Amino acid sequence: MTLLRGLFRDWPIKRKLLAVILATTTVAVGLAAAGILWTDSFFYRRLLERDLAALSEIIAENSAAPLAFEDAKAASETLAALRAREHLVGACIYRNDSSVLARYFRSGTRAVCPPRREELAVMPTAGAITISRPITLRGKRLGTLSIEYDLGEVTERRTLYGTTVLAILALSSILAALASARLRDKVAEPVFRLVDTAGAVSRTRDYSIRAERLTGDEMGVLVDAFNDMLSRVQSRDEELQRLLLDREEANRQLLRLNEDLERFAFVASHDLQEPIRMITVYTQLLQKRALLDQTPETAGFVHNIVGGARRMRELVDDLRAYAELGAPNEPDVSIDLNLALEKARDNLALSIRSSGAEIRMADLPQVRAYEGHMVALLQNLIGNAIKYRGPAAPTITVGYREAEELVFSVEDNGIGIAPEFREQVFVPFKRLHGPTIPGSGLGLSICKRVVERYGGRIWVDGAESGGSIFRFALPLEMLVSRSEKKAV
Amino acid sequence: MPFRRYITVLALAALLGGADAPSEYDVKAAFLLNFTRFVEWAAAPSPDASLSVCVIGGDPFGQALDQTLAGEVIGNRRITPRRLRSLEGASCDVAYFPHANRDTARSLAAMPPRVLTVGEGEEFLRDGGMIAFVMENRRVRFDINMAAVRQGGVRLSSRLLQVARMVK
Repeated sequence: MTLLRGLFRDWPIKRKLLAVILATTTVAVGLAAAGILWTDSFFYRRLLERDLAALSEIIAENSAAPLAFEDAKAASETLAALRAREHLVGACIYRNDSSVLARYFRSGTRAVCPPRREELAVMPTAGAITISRPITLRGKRLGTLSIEYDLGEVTERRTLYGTTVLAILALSSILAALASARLRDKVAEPVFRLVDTAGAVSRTRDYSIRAERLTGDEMGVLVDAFNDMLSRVQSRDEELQRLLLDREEANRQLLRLNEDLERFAFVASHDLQEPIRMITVYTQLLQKRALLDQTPETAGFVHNIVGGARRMRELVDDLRAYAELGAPNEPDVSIDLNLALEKARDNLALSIRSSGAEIRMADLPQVRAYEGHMVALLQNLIGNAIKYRGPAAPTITVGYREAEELVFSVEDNGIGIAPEFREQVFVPFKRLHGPTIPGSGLGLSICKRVVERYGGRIWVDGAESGGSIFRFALPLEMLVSRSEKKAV
Repeated sequence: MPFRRYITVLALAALLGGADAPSEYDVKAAFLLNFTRFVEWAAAPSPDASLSVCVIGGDPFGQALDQTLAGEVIGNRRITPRRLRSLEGASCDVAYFPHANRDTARSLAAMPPRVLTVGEGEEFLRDGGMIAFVMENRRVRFDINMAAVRQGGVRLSSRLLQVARMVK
């Protein structure tokens, strides 16, 4: 039963409808047939009994005269009229002394007279009904009529009805199956259409598709709800698309703005170099001349001009380096970071010497990058460590660790950075110490820009010594080999 | 008609041949009773009036008639057998003329209405009688003269005609 139910549940709707129609037809016709059969065999029997009572009365009436005058021939003729009733087994006319005046037997039946009774009696026996009726004349009993009638007719009718019912059942099943094909289409069509539509929507993601409303029934309501849902999804989808476009447009604008800005910075820094060099050269000449004049006041002015020109040159250099990072890529080649570090140290040789800094270097790997970027990165970090040194001579440790990324660290024993400023230090021109420590305010911005350009990240932690640990992580893909030195 | 009588006696003898078989006049007595049942009798003159079955001129029945008719009633009329020399002055409902009656034709001509006349032999009908017993294959049967029945104003059930040997 559970299996059957499970089977039924997974049937397609068309087959379910057919099964329901056939089951209904069968049950309806079967019940009707059973009812008809039952009532018919019940009523037909009663009808038969009444019919036989009437028949026997007529025969008895007609038998009175023959019986009164011992006319066996006439009596036999009267009984012979019963021949028309093919289910009449036999009939006998008894005299009052139980002797038989006349008899009739259907051919092929045993010639035994049905029993007689003193009173009118209807006697149902197995498969037959026997009626015994007194024959009277003017209230005087002359004899008895007995008639036996078989119930073959009932069986015949039952067989006839049964056959008819089976025929009707077969016919109606066929008709139902045929008719249901159309009916099923009518009922199931909207379902299939909806299923198709839903499939099309989820396949194409085209939310402008609408299901067609074919009926006004529950399917129609479902279709309306489905369409309503679709139109909501569609409007939301359109809204989303529009927002996305807006965002892209804004992004594009921002990018364009940024590019303009960078181009300006690049052009400005590049074009400013020449005038600054001019200023530097000529103020240096002026300084020499002023030194000859030995005017203390003039010498002070010139000194200030020279210092300002130098700071300006440094600023423009940094600005240019920063702007250049936004310029189109130089092709990445395999470089040895140990060499890049050497170069950075060489560039910083003057301040290293003057500050008495000690630089400890780990063995760095070989990566795919543009060397200028890596030199600038390392040089800025080490330069910073020297610039923001403490009272003691700076000790700078360059470390390297390989995990999911290539993680580099530059640790110093300098003045350190308070935790709340550790994010700000990477913002361009953001300086924590004002004019006391010279700088363009672009060093760490350049570092950040380099690292991000290669898809890495940079951050700063506090060191145990009170100094800072700058760390940057580069993607593993950049790694060419662990170390050029080892490879050689 | 001595010859005819002879035959009758012969037939009677043949009838009596069977051990328990009823005699010819036993049967005729029974038939006579039954005839009264197929007649629609007029209303009785008085409530206790009996229905008289008169045997005219000689009695061939002997005990048979009395035995047969004893206690029989039609409606509420008791059937009473009477034996008469002639019909004159008597009121009868059924008049039976035995073969021996020589006066039959004359009696029939003077018959009052609504009397069922029963006799023996086919000539009884020719004389104007209504029902005549005849012997056929040693069996008692009867013929009916419908013209006489109608003329006499007797209302006879059609069912009686059905079992008559012959209806004129």
